[in-house]
Amino acid sequence: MAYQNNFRKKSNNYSNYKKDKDNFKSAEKYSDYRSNKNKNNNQDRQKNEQTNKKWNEKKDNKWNEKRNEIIPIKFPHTYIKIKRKGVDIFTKNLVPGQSFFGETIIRKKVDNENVELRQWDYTRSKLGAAIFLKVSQLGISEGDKVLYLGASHGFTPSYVSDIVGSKGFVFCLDFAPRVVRDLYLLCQKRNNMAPIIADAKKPEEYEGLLPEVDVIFMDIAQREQVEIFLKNFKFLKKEGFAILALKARSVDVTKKPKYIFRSAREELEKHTLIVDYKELDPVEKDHCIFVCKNK
Amino acid sequence: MIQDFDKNKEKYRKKCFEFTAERLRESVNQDNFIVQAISEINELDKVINMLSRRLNEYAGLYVPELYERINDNETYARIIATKTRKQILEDLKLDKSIGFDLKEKDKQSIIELANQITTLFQQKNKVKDYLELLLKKYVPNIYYILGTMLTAKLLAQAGSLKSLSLFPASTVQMLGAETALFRHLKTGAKCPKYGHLFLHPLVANAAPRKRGKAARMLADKVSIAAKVDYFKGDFVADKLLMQLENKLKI
Repeated sequence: MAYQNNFRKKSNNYSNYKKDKDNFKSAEKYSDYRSNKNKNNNQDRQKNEQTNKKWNEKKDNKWNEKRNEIIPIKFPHTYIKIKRKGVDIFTKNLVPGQSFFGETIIRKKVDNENVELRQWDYTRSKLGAAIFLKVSQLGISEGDKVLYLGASHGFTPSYVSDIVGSKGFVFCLDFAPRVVRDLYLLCQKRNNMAPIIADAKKPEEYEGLLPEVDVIFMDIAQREQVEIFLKNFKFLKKEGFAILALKARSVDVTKKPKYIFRSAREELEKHTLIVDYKELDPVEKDHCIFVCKNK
Repeated sequence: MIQDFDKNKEKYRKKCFEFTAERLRESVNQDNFIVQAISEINELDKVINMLSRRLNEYAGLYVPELYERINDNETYARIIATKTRKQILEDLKLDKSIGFDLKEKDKQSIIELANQITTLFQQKNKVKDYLELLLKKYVPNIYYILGTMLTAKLLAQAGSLKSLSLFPASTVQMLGAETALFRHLKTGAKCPKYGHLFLHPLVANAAPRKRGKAARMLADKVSIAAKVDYFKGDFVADKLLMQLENKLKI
């Protein structure tokens, strides 16, 4: 009978439930249903056991081996540790023995090399969130000169300086004096960082302090984020990368974030080549990240 | 732009540090003192309330009748710090008390707590006097209209005198009511009529129907006064306040 096979699936639906009830009016049909139900239960149980076995095998083969193991990934000096849910991200510490924001430090052997790793809390930084969500490309390679706009206390810039290494350099720019006070003290401890206090809307102010730069990263909560981003392209070399972390709520509170992302994308496509685009939704609400390449 | 960065890395790094250090030194101004002072007063208030509630519970063990008579935290703390149990009961004209006669050892921590609270009150008053001096010199026009605490609160909310003077009057009216305002913009709930300005007697004592109007008029005058103060004009606040009072009386 047709309804017997479909019964389990449709039983959630109230209208179908009523129809089935009418069918059970005669005692014979009901007994039929009971016996079939038991059979179905047995079959399900067998199926479940089979799938469980397969799953356990999978676990033994793949996950259990790699769990809690530290693996290098494609970005320079970055590592991940696979956990039951998600991953932890680490970078190789440039200044051994120092943690600046109370993050945990691990010393381990990776590929027959003793490394000191600094944990990267991806909920506190948008770049970390992008790596957590498997962004395809960042464009930051070893020895790059990076211009970081909107450096704040220097949490994410410190990790960027880890990625870039001792040959690279990070210029950290922020506007608010209170925040730059912390940034100044951080930059003194790290040899490849320098603080600049200036307004990102006026590139003329800090023009004399900067060389040509390989990468630009911007994370500022302003209304004209995209315009400011494009203004600073004059420091970028040809075919250099630029990353924009866009906060939809600071552009317009009343509009829907998806609409803002789309309009920003259209504007960016006029001047640059968009390599990757990611919405950071479960980690950072109403944020997205653009990875662009200078034409 | 710099061409030979890779050769003289250290030199250019030092240049960056000098540039920021100079700008950081310049960035400290009168606004920072006012913002720090008002936030210190707010935090002292919180601490004092918390501690005096504890003192009330603690000292209630041996003179429970005192708190009923005196509802002021400052005098309550001063009396417990200076007077003994007998003196307090004599002042209250009571022969017997419900409280338990504590030993000297147990009393000591209570008296220390009371002393702590009185010193906190003294500190708060000192900071208030300091704020008044600052505001009288820095923003005489706004100070004349609003008084010490309200002026400081508005300045702290705006961030600096410059930004307060550049605000339109409607923004001044909404300062301190940000959550309600954005709720209104997002969901279409009722628009707030006033933020911090409700603390002003002209708004608070107005009839409930006219409070919105009063807040709007006050915000007008405040924004004019802020502009005069920022560009260092003459003293006009007495005229502004006169206009306001005449309008609100009718």
